[in-house]
Amino acid sequence: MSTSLHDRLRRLRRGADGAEAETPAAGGDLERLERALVGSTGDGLSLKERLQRLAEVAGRGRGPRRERIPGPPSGVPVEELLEGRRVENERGEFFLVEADASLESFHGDAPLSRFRVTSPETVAVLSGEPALGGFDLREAAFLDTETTGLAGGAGTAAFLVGLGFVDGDRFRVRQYFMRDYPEEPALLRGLAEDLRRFSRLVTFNGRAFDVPLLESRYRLSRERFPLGSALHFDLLHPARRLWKLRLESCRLQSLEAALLGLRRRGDVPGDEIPQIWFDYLRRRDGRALVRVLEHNRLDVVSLAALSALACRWVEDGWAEDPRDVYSLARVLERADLHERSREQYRRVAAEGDHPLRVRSLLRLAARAKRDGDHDAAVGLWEQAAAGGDWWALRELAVHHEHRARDVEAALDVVQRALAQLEDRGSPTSHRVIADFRRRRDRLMARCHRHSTN
Amino acid sequence: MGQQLVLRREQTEEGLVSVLRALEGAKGPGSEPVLTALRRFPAQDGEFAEFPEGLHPRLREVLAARGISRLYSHQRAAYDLARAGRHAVVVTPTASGKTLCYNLPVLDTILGDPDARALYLFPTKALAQDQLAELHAVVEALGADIGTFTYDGDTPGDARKAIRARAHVVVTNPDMLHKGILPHHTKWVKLFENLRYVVVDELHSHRGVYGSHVANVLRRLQRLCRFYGSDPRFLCCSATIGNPKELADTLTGKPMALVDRSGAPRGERYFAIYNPPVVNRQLGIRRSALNCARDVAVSFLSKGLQTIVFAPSRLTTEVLVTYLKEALETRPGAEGVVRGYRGGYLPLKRREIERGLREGSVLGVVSTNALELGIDIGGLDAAVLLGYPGSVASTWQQAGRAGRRSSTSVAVLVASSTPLNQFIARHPDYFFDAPVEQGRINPDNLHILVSHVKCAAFELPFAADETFGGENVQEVLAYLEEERLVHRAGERWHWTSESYPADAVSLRSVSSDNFVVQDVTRDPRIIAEVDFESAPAMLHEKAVYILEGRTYFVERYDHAERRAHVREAEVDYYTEAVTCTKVRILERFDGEDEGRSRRSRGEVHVTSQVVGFKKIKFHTSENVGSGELQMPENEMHTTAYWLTVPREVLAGLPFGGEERRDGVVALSHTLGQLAALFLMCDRHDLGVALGDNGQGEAWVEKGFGRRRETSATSHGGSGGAGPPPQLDRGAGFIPAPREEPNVFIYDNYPGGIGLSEPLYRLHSRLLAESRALIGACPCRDGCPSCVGPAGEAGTRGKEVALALLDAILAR
Repeated sequence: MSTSLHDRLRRLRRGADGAEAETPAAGGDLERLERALVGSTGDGLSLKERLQRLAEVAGRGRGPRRERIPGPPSGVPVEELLEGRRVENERGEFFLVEADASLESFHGDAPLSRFRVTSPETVAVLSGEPALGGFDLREAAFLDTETTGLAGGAGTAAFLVGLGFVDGDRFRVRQYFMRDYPEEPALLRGLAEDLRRFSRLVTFNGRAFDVPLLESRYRLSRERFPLGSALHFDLLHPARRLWKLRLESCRLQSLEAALLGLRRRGDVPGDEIPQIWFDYLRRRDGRALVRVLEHNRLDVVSLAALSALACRWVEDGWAEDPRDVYSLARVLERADLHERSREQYRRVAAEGDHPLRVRSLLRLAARAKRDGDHDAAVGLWEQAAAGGDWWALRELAVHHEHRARDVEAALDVVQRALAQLEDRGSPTSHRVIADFRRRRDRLMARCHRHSTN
Repeated sequence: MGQQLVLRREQTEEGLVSVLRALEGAKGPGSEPVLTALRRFPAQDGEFAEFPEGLHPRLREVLAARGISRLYSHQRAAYDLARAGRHAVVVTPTASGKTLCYNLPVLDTILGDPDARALYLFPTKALAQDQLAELHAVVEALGADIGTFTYDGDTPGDARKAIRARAHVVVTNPDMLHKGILPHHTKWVKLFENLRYVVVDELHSHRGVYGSHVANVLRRLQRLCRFYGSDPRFLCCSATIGNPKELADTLTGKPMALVDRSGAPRGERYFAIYNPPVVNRQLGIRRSALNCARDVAVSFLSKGLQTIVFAPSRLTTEVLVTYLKEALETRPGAEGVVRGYRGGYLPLKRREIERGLREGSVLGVVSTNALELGIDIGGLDAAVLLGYPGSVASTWQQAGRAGRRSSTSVAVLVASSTPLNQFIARHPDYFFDAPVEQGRINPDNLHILVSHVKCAAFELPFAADETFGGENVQEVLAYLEEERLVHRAGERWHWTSESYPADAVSLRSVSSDNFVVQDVTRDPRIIAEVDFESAPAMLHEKAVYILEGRTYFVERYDHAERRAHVREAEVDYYTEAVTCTKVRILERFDGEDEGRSRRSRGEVHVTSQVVGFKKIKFHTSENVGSGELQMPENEMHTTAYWLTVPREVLAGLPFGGEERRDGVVALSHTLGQLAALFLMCDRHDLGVALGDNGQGEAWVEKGFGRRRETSATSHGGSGGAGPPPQLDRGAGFIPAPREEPNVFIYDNYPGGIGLSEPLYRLHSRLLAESRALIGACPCRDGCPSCVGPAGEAGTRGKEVALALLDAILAR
């Protein structure tokens, strides 16, 4: 379109009369009429009014409109509220807040001294990734970001990055904060410089969120991304594997409450954080931000404390609740630590009538079978089958029919299974019953053949 | 199935000629010929060009192995332009080898520089799939490591990362580019840094609101390319359109070079217009166009001529498939020689039908305009168009589906009984001489522009002196800052909202939320999909759902689960839904008396609802029953302009109540036409509805609604499948004459797109031009070019509309 927005605006502001004068007189010359109309949208309202009206229409049905921005800024600058300092580098300036704690202190009821005793080989066990062998938490950077949203995409920025690490007998947290967008390149540069001495990174859901987000920010600022080659331990999935059977939620804050006994006072809910920063951009009032920085600091320390706890948990088999014990056994099994895994499964299997008992027996049996210890497997299946587990019965039937080649024993198991299943008549059992019936018919035919031969 | 049915060339020729002879000689009861026009377009020799000197030798070999030893002149021209760094738009007829126009320079470039990347945009996923198959074949033959992938809503999550890293050619659609690629551009660094070509195929489909959005998506794309240091060339392809260069210029913001001379040879072509004979002189009733189309199609098919039939709606498509299957699939082994094709068929089924057409195992296909776009089905012998498709461009596009490079082909347009069709049947010259429609877009429409400025700000901060598509958008940004969506810091505007703006901006008004049709006759299985908007009309309970000639009875419609259960049933009728549209005024922004009428504009709430259905008997089209329905409403908040005809003006007209009402209906038709013309928007961007001012709302039987393929009633005017459905007029649908009618022209787009403001300002001009247009129209009782279908506007509609306008305009 040849007419610029500015021209359209000017024409609009000239009012209806001006617009009339520009359009040719009506004479059926539609071509000219059309041309006169191109780009002219609006009828005397200012661009602003038109835009506002647009927003009103578009926003209707989407809840109440936000209140207008309040008057001149009257807040307290963040520099006055936080123990921090301006840091300058080639890309400009950002704000750095530092805090530290003795490794002799506690986070919630968790001693930070646990860092001293974790084994560097445990992270590989927890994550199930052999590449993370020799991952010493004392040499790792614990990272957590506060962002302008959870949507992802190029428009989401990390305005605060918290970095925790063990430094001698202290646990330090450095928080890289941008007081406005122009500070982002300096923040990213400063963070990169500090990250250079770490080759190991620990996050909570960082694989899916924090790291790709930072990577995107580094690209946009045309800075080199410092985490491209770091070994990355994302605690989220190991934590879920360890605790999700017992805990309803495996969010970081649920974990810290349940496992570290940490109670946050006056914590700011995570979903309010982006808006607090946006408000800060406009009002320059740092008061609400203080809570955001505290929130982030606690997240970083909790991440570190939970990582240490998870390591110790695995190393010393801390699990007590059968659900945790079973989970731990699974984690150990995944890491091919079969002896230790068996030990934990046996703990659950010894639990009388716990729902996980049969599952543990089955896992033990599967292991025994894979190890070629069929007698042990049969014993375990028998135990599980005693409780009526059809999978165990099926395994037994398969064993007797195909390995032991004992048709009668197999038939006996199948009959047992059918008696139980047909009795139960549960909806899922249809296919299972059909399977057992086919098996029975086959076995009976074989029996018959045997006897006629 | 799978028989080879395609005939030898001489037989084809002979068959076509004999069918044409028969048609030419056919007469109605009053001995008038049924063909009102038969045009012959002579064969054209091909114009060829050698392969370009610098073409990569592998590419030359592979093409030669595929039987291409030289290029058509337009392919060579496009290649030369592209390699010379020009932006180009190619406009040539269907099946003239357009894809090579862009595949050739793109593949040649990538062979020479493995880092080079290209982005292909197709308007639909189906087209993208189709193109990818062809591209794959060439790449495979090349044996080069060239990654070609589609990237759209169907791409599985785990494949996306690999595609981002490996794709040389990313095949996608504008919607995915808008929502899935641009906002995540930092994951596509390789693509953006090395983007050499952007291919926009089916350019002509990027019109109206959709095209205006796409133009802004391309602005955002180019903005990101600048950030990453690339400057891609645009290569566009289009079917016939009145203003290809202008449209491509505006869409891409780049000066395009036009290639519009096709070098592809074309066989001799005939185009016939068939007007069903009058069977009842008194009532002027013609034979059903549907039945005529069936007969014409059967005459081609029974001679073994590959034929495509275009039907105006999904329903008529299925009815015709049923008829043709009955007529042709009589011999054992003939099952499947006639197929249906429309949106809603599952992709695999469509691919199978397309392949069948190319290979000749499918003899006849009945399709909606879904096959009008460039899906490769090869050239067929005959095309039968049931009813005028609504535009000159579509007509040629559909007719172009019949046409082989070297042999004769025929297209027959069977006129339906609507005035627009009858007008064309009676004035064939008007049609043959009419210029092809132009594609209009307005990327600077404030509402659309603002939406995309938001998306662009999310993708990359705006600089304080930055323009967008040549527009100075600083004021827009200042406004967005007040809305707290952006924040100015230093010399940049940054996005400061948690939201992901692209999610709130839909390029098309259509919801992507499809309904699935589940056949529960035996083991439940999904047999089709139906788009959200059409679902209530097609899948309401007790509806007969037809799929490829099989009839199913709809047992359950589950709106929440987006699913319908159907059971196979042998029935001798089909159903047509009755849709009602209601406009309610929410707020009047402006309003004032102008002469002897009132103009207003404001926000309205438009609801359309399926309120009933009719049972129509196959073959006889008898209405054999009906039912009432309570289906969920489709709702839309939008903006509207409306004209109020004051009570005293209406009362002063020397006509009866019915006639006055017809006059208002007639006037609304003209206003709708002119409004679209003045605003240069697609006709479907506007909805027109009648209401009553006293109530502030009213029911009307239909507007010029959004294109809804399914509901025969929602555009019975253009359908032409048998007699148009006779709805109960009066009661509840149209305001009684003592009231004060409103003619609403609303933005057929949620939230409105700003069309009502200029209309409001245009009010008096709109009325004056309507008066001039109707007054100057040579027809007697109204025609499509003035007050519209006589069936809708009554017999004196034109006369009353004129009187009404005179009364309004009198000073």
